[in-house]
Amino acid sequence: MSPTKILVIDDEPDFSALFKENLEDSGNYVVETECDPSKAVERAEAFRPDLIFVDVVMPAMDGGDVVSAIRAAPRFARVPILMLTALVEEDPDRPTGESVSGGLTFVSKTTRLDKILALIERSLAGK
Amino acid sequence: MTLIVLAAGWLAIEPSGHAGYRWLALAAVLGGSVLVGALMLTGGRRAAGGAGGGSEGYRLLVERLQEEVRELTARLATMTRERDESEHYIETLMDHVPANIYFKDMKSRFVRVNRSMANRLGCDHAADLIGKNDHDFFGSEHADQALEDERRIIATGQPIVGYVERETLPDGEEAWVLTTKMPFRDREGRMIGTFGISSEVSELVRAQQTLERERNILRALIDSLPDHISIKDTEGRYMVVNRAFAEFLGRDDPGSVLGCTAADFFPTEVVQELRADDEVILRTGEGVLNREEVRWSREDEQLVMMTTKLPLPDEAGEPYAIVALSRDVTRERRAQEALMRSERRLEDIIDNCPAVIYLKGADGRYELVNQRFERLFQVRREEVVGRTDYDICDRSTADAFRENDDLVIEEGEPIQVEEIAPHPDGDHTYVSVKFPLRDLSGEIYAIGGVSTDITDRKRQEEALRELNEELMAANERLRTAQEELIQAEKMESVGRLAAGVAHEVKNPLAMIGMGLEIVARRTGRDDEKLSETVERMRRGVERAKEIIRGLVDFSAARQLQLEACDLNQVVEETLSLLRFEAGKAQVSVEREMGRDLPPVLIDATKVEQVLLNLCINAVQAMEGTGGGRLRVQTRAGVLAGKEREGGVRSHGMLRDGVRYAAVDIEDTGPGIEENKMDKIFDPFFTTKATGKGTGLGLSVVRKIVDLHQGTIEIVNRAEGGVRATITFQAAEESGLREPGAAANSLKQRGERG
Repeated sequence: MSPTKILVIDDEPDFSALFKENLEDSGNYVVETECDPSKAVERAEAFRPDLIFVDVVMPAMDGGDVVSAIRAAPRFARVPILMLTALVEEDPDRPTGESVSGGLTFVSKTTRLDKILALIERSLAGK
Repeated sequence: MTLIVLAAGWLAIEPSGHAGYRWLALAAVLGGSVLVGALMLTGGRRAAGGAGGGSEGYRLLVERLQEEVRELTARLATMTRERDESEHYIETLMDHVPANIYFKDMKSRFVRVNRSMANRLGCDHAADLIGKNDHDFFGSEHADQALEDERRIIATGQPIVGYVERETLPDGEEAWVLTTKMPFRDREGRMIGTFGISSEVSELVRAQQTLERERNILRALIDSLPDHISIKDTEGRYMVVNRAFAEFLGRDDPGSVLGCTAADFFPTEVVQELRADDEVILRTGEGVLNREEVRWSREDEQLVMMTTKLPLPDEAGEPYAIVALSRDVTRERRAQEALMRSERRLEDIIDNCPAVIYLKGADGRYELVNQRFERLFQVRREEVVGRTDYDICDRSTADAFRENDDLVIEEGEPIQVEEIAPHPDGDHTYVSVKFPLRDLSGEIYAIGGVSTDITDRKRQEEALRELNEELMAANERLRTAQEELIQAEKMESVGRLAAGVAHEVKNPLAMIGMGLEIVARRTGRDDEKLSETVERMRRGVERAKEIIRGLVDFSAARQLQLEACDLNQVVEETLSLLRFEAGKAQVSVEREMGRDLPPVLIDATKVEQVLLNLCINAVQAMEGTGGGRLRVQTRAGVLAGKEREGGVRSHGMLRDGVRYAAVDIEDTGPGIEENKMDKIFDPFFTTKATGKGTGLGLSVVRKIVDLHQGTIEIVNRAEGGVRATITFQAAEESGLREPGAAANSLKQRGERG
């Protein structure tokens, strides 16, 4: 079974590196990171991820713009996208702490790794 | 023969009518007869003796003589008796006739007077007057005149018959006498003096004088009257006219009018009118009283005459004349007309005056009221005059009116009071000026009043007071809102700081967390100490996360209390808060509320805060330029394309085709410098002087609008000033369903899922 491909778009290379290592250590994942949001679509085209994490607050292009750009390609229309940001707090009412608004799923960056892994699995399962 | 002579002598004296003289003559005649008889007797004897015989003849002669003497003696006795009788008649006449009779000699001395005359001159006996003259008894005025008269009589032989003269008696009494004076002649016709008879006619004269005087007074009276007075006979001829009427007819002498008719003075139509009038009066015997007639004066002035005509009946009761009395009342009529006009005018003023006007006697009875009064109490003035307030008002109202009236009488001065009068629509308040009216002696005889309905004014005052209170309350609310706004701005800045700090701190914290996960996995289970260290670090990270969460929770904006609202209502609320501020800055506020606005899902308090902030910015911008116009408009629409003007808008998160409700706030201020346009939503950016604003207002505004997923756009208007537009999507379109769903400011974009 080929590993699940996860693309992380975040302008913070240190965080991206630590996040990638944790994900790859924790399961059958291949993670690529992109620090430049303007290259997000190009990177996705090349990598063809099964799931994408997008930071919200980034210079030049924010997470919303990135999502719009990615979704513009039919290929990625149904790829799960999780907004990974320090802006939101975990929703205590949900087991995995995410929140949904305007059709987007927001995940706090400080969410514990096990919860994030559970959320990835659920998102890939299309739930 | 002797008798014939006697008779002739008697008769000769007859014309004189003087009994005294007649008797004197008689005596003389008698004397003469005796003498003649004696001579005849002697001669006869001689003749008888010569013819007859001596002693016989003598004896016969003697006998005849004796016979004759006897006869004569008898006749003398008879005559003496007769004379005495006559004298007695004369004496009786003289003594009792109620007239004064006198005889005077040629020198006007009294020779005989009767008793009446003597008494009149103050003497007891007639004899006392003999030899005296008028000057001894009368004043010289009369005496001289009498003397002159008598001299003339003597000179001319002509009597003075029946003239009336005035005598002043010795006792000073004046008397009028009717006198006839005649020449006194002897038997031979020689003038021997004068005699006269006079009788007192003082009463008659005085009566006549009185009559004359009365006649003159009456004449003077009718001539002095300004009224026209005339008496006409049945043929229409003037019998009497007074001076005024004569002058009216153009005659100076009233006498010259007598005998004339109206036709001599008046034009035909007047003559006919008068004649017809007179005929009726003569026929019916009824006069006319105080009838007004129009006449033309000789100067062609129109005159109004007040005429009375009455028939004058004779003893048989048949009218023989018509007396007419006519008064020129032109001036009175004009004065009356002028008075009526002036009264009419006064009445008009009083009646058309919008105040209630009235006049009450000192006894409280109405003497005059105007139309307004009639309308107020719904009575006609005829029903009010003579009655009191108690007849037209309820007792307590009348008591109140009376109390004020009494105050006027007591003070003797005008007063101004408020009075309540019942109206069909409830009590009305009047301000009444009441004042005393005084007669010539200064006594108050009436109270005048002018009452003005100030109910509306009262209501307006009340409304104004309420409005003012409302304004004060609104101002208070505004102040509170501003304080809240400032508080919100402060909180926003803290919040922003906290959010910024949280974001910045959470990133490294996330990295530490991620790193710890790696470290934890790589630490062997045997290295307990390191495992414990990693665990402690994890707890530290969790604690830091909790602290940040608390900080963010604390500083986060309140959650929106969303409700479907009518945007117009929110705008109205805002404007009511703004009234005071706008008035102070001399800014007029125009509003144009759109119709059929879709309900919007908003937190009304927050949106109010937004609108207020924008409006205050606008007002403050205009305040600097001395006022202006703030125009607030709401409208509904469907979003079609995003036209961009030269302004700034918040992140547009509305899609084409959605229905929306929008508010435009336009000012006529100086606008925003273009190079500052892109900074206006930045926190801490302000164009206001230090202390006037925190610079957080617009950033808060945008935050709130963003939370509502609305848009805000601020542009400089082409015609000057700024327009701020806030757009909210209609409630049915909104993605804002559940509270808290908008707790972040991220855009709604892309697909669901």
